[in-house]
Amino acid sequence: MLAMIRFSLQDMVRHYKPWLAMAALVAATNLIYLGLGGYRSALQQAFGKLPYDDLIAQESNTTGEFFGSRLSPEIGDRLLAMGISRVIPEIHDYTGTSITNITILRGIDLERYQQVNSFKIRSGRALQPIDAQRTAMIGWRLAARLSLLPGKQITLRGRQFLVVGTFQTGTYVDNEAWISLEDAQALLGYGKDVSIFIIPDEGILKAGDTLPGSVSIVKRGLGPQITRTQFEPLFRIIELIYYALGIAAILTLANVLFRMAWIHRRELAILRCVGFQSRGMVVYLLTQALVLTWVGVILGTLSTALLFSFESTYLVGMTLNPSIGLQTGIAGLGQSTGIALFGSVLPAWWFSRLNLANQLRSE
Amino acid sequence: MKFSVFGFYLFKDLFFDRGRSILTIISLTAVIVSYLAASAISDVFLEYGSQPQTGSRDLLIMSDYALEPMQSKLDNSILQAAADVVHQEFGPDSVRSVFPAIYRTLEINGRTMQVLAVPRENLMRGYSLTLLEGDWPESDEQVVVTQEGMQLNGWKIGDRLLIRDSNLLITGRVQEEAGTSVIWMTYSGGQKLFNVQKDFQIGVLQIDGSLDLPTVQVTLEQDPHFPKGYAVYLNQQLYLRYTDLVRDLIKVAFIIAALALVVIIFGTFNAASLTMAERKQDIAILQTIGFRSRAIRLFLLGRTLLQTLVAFILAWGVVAIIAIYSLKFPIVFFAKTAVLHLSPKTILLGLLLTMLSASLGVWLTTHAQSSQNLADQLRE
Repeated sequence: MLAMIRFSLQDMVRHYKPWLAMAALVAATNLIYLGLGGYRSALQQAFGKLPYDDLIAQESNTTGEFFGSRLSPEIGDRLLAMGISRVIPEIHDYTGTSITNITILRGIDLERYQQVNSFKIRSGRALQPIDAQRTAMIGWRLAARLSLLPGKQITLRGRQFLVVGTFQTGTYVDNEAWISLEDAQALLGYGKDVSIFIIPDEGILKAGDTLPGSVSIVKRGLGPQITRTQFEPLFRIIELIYYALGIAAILTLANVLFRMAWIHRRELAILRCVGFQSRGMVVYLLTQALVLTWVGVILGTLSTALLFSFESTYLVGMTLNPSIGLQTGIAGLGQSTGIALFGSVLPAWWFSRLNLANQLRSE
Repeated sequence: MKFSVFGFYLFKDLFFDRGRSILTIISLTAVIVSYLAASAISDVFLEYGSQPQTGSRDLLIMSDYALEPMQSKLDNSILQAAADVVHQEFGPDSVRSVFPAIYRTLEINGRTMQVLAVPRENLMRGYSLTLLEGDWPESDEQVVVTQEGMQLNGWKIGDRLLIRDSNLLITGRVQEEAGTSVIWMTYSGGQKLFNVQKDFQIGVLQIDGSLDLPTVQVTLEQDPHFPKGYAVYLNQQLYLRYTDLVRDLIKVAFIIAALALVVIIFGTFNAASLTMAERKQDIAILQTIGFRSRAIRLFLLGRTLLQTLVAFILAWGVVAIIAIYSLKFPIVFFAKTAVLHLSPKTILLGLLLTMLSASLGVWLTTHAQSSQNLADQLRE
């Protein structure tokens, strides 16, 4: 067995060029797989299930949690009149005129926003009802993008706001700037209007209900869910590329293994004659396949890690930081090992069917 | 050597070695499929925000703070003031038409759609829309939808859409060259649907064809009589914002395409070097009986290029099938549909790069072999 492994490895070193090319192919396949997984999990983290069971009232056919909804304060009064125990208004919009200065903005009721928003303060403090006008707390991703710290000023639609703290939620919200509801209404020209009302799911209204005046009740988190869904077709196509590369890797590996073994068919036949069992051929091929794919996996993983360390994707005012998760990494290794197994089984089966005497005669 | 003799030997050799040739072609095909598909994605995002030149003569007036037209707010006095500036600067016939447009981005069935309401006469003539099927809206409850919107939602003429408590009838399917999912309706229909009276989002000035549009745009913006707080855009400039919004996705797609390019280079190099490794002795024998290295190299190059060409054609077919399949799952961001397709540029570039890397593979391997001793090669 060891002799066969040594022979196999010596042969790899002797004909290193096709093996190097093959390792690059496996590395590329691994890179695409890990990259895809990294972006998927980054999106899942940003726009995945929010930790709230609330409902929201928003203008029909809009994604009020991001932008586009506008409700008059009378809607809030109507909700309270229906017996709903807690009706908290918020404004969701964005400022900026280009990709470079876009900021996602949330206007919050300083008295009650902490009842419906959970977050962790990373630096400074949270906004308080006693805060003066033009104060803001901002998500840590936005703070990182704009290099802002508590005590500095952030410009929102041409006006300066004092940053009092940075917060973290672990979702897309970390890209937002939060200011008081009144400041947001004045800044955006909303008058007394708001974007949404956050209400508890206590059985009075349910998701899917509508109210007169084009108001819809939806589950909180529907907007992020729709955003995430928009990316699925793109991922599906990238997945097709990954599958194509995976098939290319299996076929090319089988091709290389078979042809390399074919070049050495006489030597391999001699080994069988002097007592090596036929499973030696499997060991010979599998050794080459595993060494090759694992080298490819290491190269692919290192390249992905390098790429992710330089690359953060900025999309419509949000920063996505993809990373290699442990699960994705293990899955990538498993799939590459699968490529090695599939790629070596075919040539091993082929060789087992060849006549030993014919192989010995070959020159 | 005559070309016909060369060709005859080439095909005969490929046929004699058909098992390995087929294996090579199959693995090359899979590699080229990855490259073409990745390039197609890259193309999708590069073309995403660009609007084809439609010969539009529109200048669009919007609030200067608005990134999305929906954030803009203006009224007739602003639009009229802008039209007056153009009249004053460029003469009374400089503006062909002035009209308001109500703009909304809505979520319908979980998909983003744009809704645009303009006066009926401008809808039919002013917006580069072509009626493909059905009729233009006759009343406030009737709409026409772009074919992208119809296809995306599986709608047909005669269907009714429930938007904001209103039941709207689709009377026609229209073509709009920007490839956006848009519901078009009359201005009065839009006013009713969105419960607005005086405000709208975009003011449109249609400028006479004899004038240079960018010049009018700059003059208008710089004129002291042009209302403060508003900006003037060309159609193309608004669409370019979409490219900006997904700019980083272009980067990602480009990385995938670059990666696939590396794969194609290694893949073809691999195929060429394997052939060389297998046929060292054959080549040495040919050299011994008098064939020059150049002739052998040419022969191997021809053989590899032929295999690569066949693989490329097969891969093209496979990616065309993938593109048809992907129509079922169009990529839609901000109501603009991006469809995977292979542009002639991608195909030609792919073919060129594939052939170049195959040639490089042959050259590198034959070059390395030519430095070896002939007797050693014969003994191997």
